[in-house]
Formats: sequence, structure tokens, C-alpha cells
Amino acid sequence: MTREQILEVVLGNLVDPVEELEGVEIDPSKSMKDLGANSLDIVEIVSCSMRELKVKVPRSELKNLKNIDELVDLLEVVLQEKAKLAS
Amino acid sequence: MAPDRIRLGRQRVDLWLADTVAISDPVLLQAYERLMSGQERQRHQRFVFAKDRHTHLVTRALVRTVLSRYAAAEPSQWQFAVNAYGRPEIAEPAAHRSLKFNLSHTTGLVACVVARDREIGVDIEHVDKQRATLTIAKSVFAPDELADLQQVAESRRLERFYAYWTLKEAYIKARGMGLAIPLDEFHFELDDGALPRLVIQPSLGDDASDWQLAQSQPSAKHRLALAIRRGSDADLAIQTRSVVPLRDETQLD
Repeated sequence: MTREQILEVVLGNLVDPVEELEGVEIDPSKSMKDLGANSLDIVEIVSCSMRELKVKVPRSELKNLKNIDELVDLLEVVLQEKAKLAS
Repeated sequence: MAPDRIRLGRQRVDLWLADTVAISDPVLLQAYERLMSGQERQRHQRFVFAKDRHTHLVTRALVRTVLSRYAAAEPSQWQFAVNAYGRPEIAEPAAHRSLKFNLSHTTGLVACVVARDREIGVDIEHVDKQRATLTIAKSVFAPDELADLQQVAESRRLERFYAYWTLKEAYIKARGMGLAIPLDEFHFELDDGALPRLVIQPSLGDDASDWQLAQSQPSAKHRLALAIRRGSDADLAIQTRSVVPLRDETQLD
């Protein structure tokens, strides 16, 4: 899975709880809080993205993320590790 | 004329609610802007949408004006610092650090709870929103809470979800540890008509009987939960006020 595809999954899940983002171009260098997401929105976005990508990221690694790009980077690393283990 | 100072001992907590939709007077909003610190202004500018800037502005005005009701300090004088896990606390004036507060905001409402030298947490949610309840619960709820959500009738699941979430958030915020707290080492038990019960595993190093929990519905669309470390004291009184910062306030109970 490419980085662009992972970004698409995350952005797709962002639009559900944060309705204002529907049809708006989202800058991934922004934090989810800057885009108006509260704690529950963020947990929902991350949980739904992990389910869709079929990966699990430890919460300890999630809490220091500063923006959407960093979340996508982390998911990409976890997906790559999972692929390596499977091969 | 400034309103009278409120005396707050250890046997009461005060809950302040501000309706963000009702606050729109440009003169008032300008006054709120003048209360913010440089750091708060920078944070304010980072919000992409006007509605989030508005909520942030009301939240900052709320916490500053509310704290000034309890202490000889102007609303603009308060300085805040975050603890190791990011929870804001009073830094200056240092003489008033025994005032503890916690904030929560959601669509249409901001809550600020104040206590004297006690751990306290509040969470408020707008419950109109559909949520991926089971996906979220699998991720951050304790196994017993997830099992309960799975068995409850679908028509009641969202309400139940918000009851758990607000209680869990209120407790986590009161502990001041954010998501660093092990989420599988505590859970809530909900029984219709009874008070919620907190269950804590010994490994968490906390005592469930220390905690007073409260839930309320500030409006048809909002659910709120409070977690107060009562310790060995009797249950604390909770006094709720509806407020428009710098303008008026009404005691609700």
C-alpha cells in the first residue's frame, strides 16, 4: 500500500466526525485539533483507520504525533513491518 | 461593577457552562480577545475554521473569568502551565495554585469545573453525532465495557457509548495522565437507574472508593460527566451555573 493510499484512508475517516471537512481540501501538515477534531473525534479517526488498514498501533506511539502527516508516516511504518513479517 | 468573590472550600465543586452559540456580541468577543495571552492568541490562529476559533475564544474567556471569581486576580493575569502529560494547571499567580480546574468543550457548549485542592475532571459531548461505537470501544474501552455495548439494544447503544466515554474521559482527565493511563486497568459499570460504579485493578495504584462520579444532561443534546477525588470525605456538593463570561450568570441548582 502506498503512502498516498494510507493518507486517503485517514482523510476519509477524518471527514466523518469533522463534517466541515466534507469536500474541503485538507492540509496534512495540520493537526487534527487545528481542523476542529476533539479527543473523541481523534480516537474515532485513528481507530477506524487502523481497522480499515488492518493494523494496530500502540497508543504510546500515537500520543506524540503532531499532525496528520506524522500519523500517516507511522501507519506506513507499521504496515511495512507487518508485510515484512508476513513474507 | 465586578461580581462578588465566590468562596470555595473543599466540600463543594463548581461547574460553569457557557453556551457558545448564544455568545455572538462582537463587543463581547473583542473583550474576550483582549484577555488572551500571546500563546493563546497563537493557538487561536492555528484553528482552520471560524467555529473552532470561536469555541477556543469562549473557552479561554470562560476559564480566565471563572478563576477570577475565586481569587484576587484579573482574568488576563492568569498564567497556565501543562503537567508532564499535557494537562493545563495554574502557574501564576502562584498563591492561587490550590484552585484546580478542568475544561471540556463540544459543539455548542463549554464546561469549566473548579475545585479546591482536589483532582477533578469533566467531559462534555454533543450526542447527536453517530459514532463508530464498537470500533472505538474495541480500541479504548475495557473488555467488560465493550461486552456491555455489544449486548445492549442497537437503539440504545449510542447513548450507552456516550455514558461510558464521558465517564472514562472525566476520570482520565482528573488523573491528569491522558492516554498514558493503562485503559484496561479501570472500567465503569452502568446499571440503569443506579449511579455508575468505577472498578480499578490493583495494578493501577488508585482506590475506586476515593472517587465521586456525576452525570448530567445540560441540554437535550449534551451529556456531561464529572470525576472528583473525594478521598475519605463525604460526597461533595456540585453547584452549576450557566454563564456568559463578562456579562451574566445564572445559578442552575
